[in-house]
Amino acid sequence: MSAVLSPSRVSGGRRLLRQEAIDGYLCILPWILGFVIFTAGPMLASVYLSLTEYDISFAPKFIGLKNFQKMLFDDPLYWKSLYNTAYYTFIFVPVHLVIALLAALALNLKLRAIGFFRTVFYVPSIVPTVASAFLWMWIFNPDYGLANNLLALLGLPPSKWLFDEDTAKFSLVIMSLWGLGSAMIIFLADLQNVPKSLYEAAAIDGTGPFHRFWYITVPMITPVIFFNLVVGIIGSFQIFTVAFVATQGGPNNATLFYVYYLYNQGWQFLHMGYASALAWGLFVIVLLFTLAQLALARRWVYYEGEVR
Amino acid sequence: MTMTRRGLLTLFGQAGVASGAAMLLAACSSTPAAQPTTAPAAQPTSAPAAQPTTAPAAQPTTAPTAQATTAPAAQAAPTSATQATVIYSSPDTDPPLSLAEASVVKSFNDKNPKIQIKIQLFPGQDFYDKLRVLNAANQMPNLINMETKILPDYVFRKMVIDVGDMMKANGMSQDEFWPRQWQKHQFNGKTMGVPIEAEDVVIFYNKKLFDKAGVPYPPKQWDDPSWTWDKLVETATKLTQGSGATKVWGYNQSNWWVYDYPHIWSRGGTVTNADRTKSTITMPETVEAFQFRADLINKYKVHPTAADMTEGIQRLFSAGRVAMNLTWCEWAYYIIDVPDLDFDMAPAPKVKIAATRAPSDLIAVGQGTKDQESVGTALAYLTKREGIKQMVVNVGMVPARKDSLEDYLKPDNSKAQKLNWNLPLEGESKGYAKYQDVTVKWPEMDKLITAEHDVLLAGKETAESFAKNLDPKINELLASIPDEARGFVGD
Repeated sequence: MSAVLSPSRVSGGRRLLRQEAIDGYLCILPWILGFVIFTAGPMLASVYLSLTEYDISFAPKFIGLKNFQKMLFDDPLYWKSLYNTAYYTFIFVPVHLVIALLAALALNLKLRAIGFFRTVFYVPSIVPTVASAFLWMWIFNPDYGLANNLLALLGLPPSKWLFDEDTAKFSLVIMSLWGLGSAMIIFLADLQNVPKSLYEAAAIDGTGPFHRFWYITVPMITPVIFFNLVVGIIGSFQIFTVAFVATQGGPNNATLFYVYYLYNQGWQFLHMGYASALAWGLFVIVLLFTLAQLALARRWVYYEGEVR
Repeated sequence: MTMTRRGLLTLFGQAGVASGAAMLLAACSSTPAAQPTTAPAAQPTSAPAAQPTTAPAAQPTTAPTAQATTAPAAQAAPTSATQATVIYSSPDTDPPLSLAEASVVKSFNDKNPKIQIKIQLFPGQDFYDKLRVLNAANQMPNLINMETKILPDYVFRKMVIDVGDMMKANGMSQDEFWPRQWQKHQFNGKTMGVPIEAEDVVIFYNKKLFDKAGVPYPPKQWDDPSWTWDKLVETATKLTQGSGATKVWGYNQSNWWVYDYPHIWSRGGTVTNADRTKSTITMPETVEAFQFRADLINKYKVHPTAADMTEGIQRLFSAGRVAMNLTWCEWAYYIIDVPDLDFDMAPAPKVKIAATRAPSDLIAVGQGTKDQESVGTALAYLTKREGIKQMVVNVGMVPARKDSLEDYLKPDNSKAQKLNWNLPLEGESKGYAKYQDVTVKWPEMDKLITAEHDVLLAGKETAESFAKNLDPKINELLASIPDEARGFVGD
């Protein structure tokens, strides 16, 4: 006797599947509508606007690829902003990852009141960026700021910090490092998931702490390192608030970051078309970096249970 | 009754349809009918909104947004049978200006129960940008207190309307205003706003610091032959003393490049030609002026750097750390109540001629204003003698009206009565105040020069290089002005 379903049972099954699919789409309909209206729609509009000259007072005037041409070949400030952003990103992200990991390692120890220390390290990351920017502006004040007081204690000459184009970007890196809590928490969670048996086995074999860290801990947390790296680079390329609050792109455009420049073009000069082109330029750059990281990840990211 | 999985999914699906429909309705519905919000009358910040400082007023947003920080204004409120609402927008968020404005509005509202003015403040430096966005949304305020230098841009964008008829209907005429102030607000035979004041730039000086250094006070009259820019440097050098956190600087002026105009004009230089079609920034006199300005910081070292100015000039002058400050005359009311601060006003020095800048303010009427009768009544009150008296006697603004002169010379504040108020007045009335190169491209030209100016003041380039870099860019901007947008006399 063959186990073949009757035609009525087959069509009934398909009907059920179709109905479930419809139910599923209906459930996610609010999200779809929100995405279309508030994300995809504006993105499509900005694609069009990037090909126009538009300053919101008058109708957009189609100019083809002139905005992109200006961006790439005729706008020194574009390259300056890109350089500043890349400088910030490629210094901040690695340092941020290292310090967050070291903090997580320290906070993973079994110590009394460790919860208090975890809170202390995490709280700065939930302070609003604007508030922390103001706080750091005071710390970096060349006349009476704590930073120069600390340098004086160490016998070092004072710095102009945010007021010198040679140190302004680095000052913003330090400012941003204060909010390492988010990455630290993610590292901490993953450190606690590393199987203890691996450390026990390594200890039995006589490996020291550094070797255990380098050959067990790091490989086991590479997925989280990769995640923080990707998210960190995406976030760093979009740095805006600290420049807007603390330096307004100065001194001498030293902290003119890409998104801040985009904001100036869009909202101060009302070059909406050009700002749209800048936005798409940033999208392409970040996409390329993300794809590159995904491609390279296969070489160094190890997922537990993966077979190579 | 038990709920099956399919039943649950169906229920969620129906809920999803309902919420999706609600979102669509919300997204497609029009903005609420006229319910203008009353923004708080005074939002003091650390620096006056209209005064450029090296440390910008701290009103940041966490993300770039096109929305006004206060709720958007309704378009000109419809006249109801009982009361009309007039939205009045102003960038003056700091006392004393904000308090004086609030007082004027209150007195109008008390006298006119059928017409109520609601003040809408946009704090921060983005006031004009926010209004452009509101214009794009067809939600311009009815009345706008704005700077004359922005007027050409707003006229070009059709954001403000001709107020000639409103003025006539309320018994106002050209003859009430000083000719120079009147001319600034004319465009192709139309009156694009009612002038209210001029802000003549003078030098404030701390008498005690002068006494301590044994230096005679600056003169009280314009065009004093002994009061030259070189003499100012000599005076400032004697006043500059100390180091570190207690250093006293001899002289300060805003790092905003427009404050270099007194230097430029006094040497006979200009930034553009008379009809504003060509840049003249590379003129030797103009270059010399910009170089002198930078030398005040880097060569003569009598002027603080940007790093020294983190506390803001108001605090530094009040604390006796700056002996002379070149700024707008109304600044007197920002420091008038500082204890033990004995100061007065002196003219800007000269090289060939004495010259200063005197930017003006006006009240314009936003496009889309429907209830012109009520708005006209409010406009007339705010710009006639009775309306601006509060501003004149409490804030020290040099009135654009002839009949307000008497009020101007009798400030309410007893300390202010001792100040040299004739000085700003003469700056305006005797022609020492010149026209800034204001065109429809002023906002862009301002930002262009400002960015490069920071480099000059930091000593990273010479004035010659600065001028050479800017010259083609300014020419490009001026060439892009449509012919129909030319014709403003300047500010």
